[in-house]
Amino acid sequence: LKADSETIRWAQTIGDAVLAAVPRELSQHLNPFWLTLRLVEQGRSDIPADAARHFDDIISQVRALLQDSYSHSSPISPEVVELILEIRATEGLRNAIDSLPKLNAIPPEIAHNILSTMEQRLAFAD
Amino acid sequence: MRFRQRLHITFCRLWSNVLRSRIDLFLLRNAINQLAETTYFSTRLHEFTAKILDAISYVIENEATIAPTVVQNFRSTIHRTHMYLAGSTTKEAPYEMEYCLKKALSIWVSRDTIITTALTDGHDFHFSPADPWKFIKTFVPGFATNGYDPLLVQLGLPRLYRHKPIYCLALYHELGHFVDEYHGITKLSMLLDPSPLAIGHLQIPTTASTADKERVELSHRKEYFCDMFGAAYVGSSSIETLVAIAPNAPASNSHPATSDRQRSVGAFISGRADPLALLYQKCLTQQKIPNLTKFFVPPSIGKYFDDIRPYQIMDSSELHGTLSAAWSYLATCLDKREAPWIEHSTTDEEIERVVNDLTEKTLRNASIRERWSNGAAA
Repeated sequence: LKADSETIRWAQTIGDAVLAAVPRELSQHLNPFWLTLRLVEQGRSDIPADAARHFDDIISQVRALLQDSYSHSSPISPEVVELILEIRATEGLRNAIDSLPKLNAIPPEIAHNILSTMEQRLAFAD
Repeated sequence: MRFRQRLHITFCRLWSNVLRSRIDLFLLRNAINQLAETTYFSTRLHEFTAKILDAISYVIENEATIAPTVVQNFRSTIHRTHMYLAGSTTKEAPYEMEYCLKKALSIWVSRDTIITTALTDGHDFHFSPADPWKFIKTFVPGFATNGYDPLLVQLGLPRLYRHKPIYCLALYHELGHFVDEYHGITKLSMLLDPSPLAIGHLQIPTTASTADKERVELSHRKEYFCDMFGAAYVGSSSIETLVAIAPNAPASNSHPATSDRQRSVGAFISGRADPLALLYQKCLTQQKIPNLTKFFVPPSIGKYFDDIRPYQIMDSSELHGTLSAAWSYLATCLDKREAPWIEHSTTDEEIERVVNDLTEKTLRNASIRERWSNGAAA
């Protein structure tokens, strides 16, 4: 398909500043992952069991999908999809996720590093 | 760190010191309590509100045992829920559209849902979820939900159109956004194939990063998906509403050009699957939800509406099809003025009112008949 001249003219006028205005925000789906990791970062020992189980399950699904090129027969949770997209777009995140132990063994500094890496990508658009 | 980001973080810290989560929860509890006293809430909304108030009271009473970050997130969750409930206290809710959309929603979401409606003063439509119970079950396990976990879905539509179902066709496009977000369809499509299928010929600056390009691609894919979704329920009338509102809109970072969207819907309706449509169907299959197909049958409403009588809808495919048929009927009445009830002196405004009224009554009758037969069967 060819763009019409109006579209081309418009497209030529947009620059990085406009592109940067596309909203970047933490999705609702990733909030449980982010919040659980935040609790680890804070050194909390009272992380709810369901949250910890959910976190470990998500990480396990992400690793499996990254290995088998997404050829999965059952539905993939939106949270897993979004985390993989984050991993793909964020340098260093895959190694960090690959080497994560179970939630109850994650050191606060590792949690901090992952959160910082993710938040850099979510940096506010000017 | 950028200046604006530093400023924002500083502001947030100051704000959270003054307006602590606990205080905000008191305010929210009072506000929701007031909503609960309205006579315009349905029984289900009263139940939902009562349970939310119990959860707020639990968090306030047990704040010392819950991580402050969880309390802050809980507050945000309740804030969002309050916004949704607050928009649903008037008796202006467009019951007929809620009925149609609830029918459509039932094949996409297996969970119990409660639809609320916010009437907006602008021209915007939306369809978005709030899921406080998922958060509460996971992060506030001390509060017993006892299996109660309905998903709150908020419809947003212009106040101007609350009794104009034909002008609310855009809600089916918005339902597409909801289904997309709920099941992660377009994001899954980016995972399976991130190549520029949607932005095609859009000129992206060469300096743009891959992440920037993918964000624009994703935004366009979302719109194309929802256009197809809307067309699956109300046919070409879904895109015709867009053409009526923004006929020559060029592509932007968030939306494809109207002309491209028209082409895409035209291809979908005529069964010509483009690579993007095929990718969406693959994602829908992956997520074990129905593929997009024609979910409607436009009934022959002409002879009924010509006699100024509502049509008797036979099933849910006709329910959605009624909107499509009514859109066409209204367009014909306005263009050709051939319906027997249209006189020389009849204004366009009167034609619009009669056709929208007949459509609304047609939908309402279907709902009443269903409740009647459900009651009779019980």
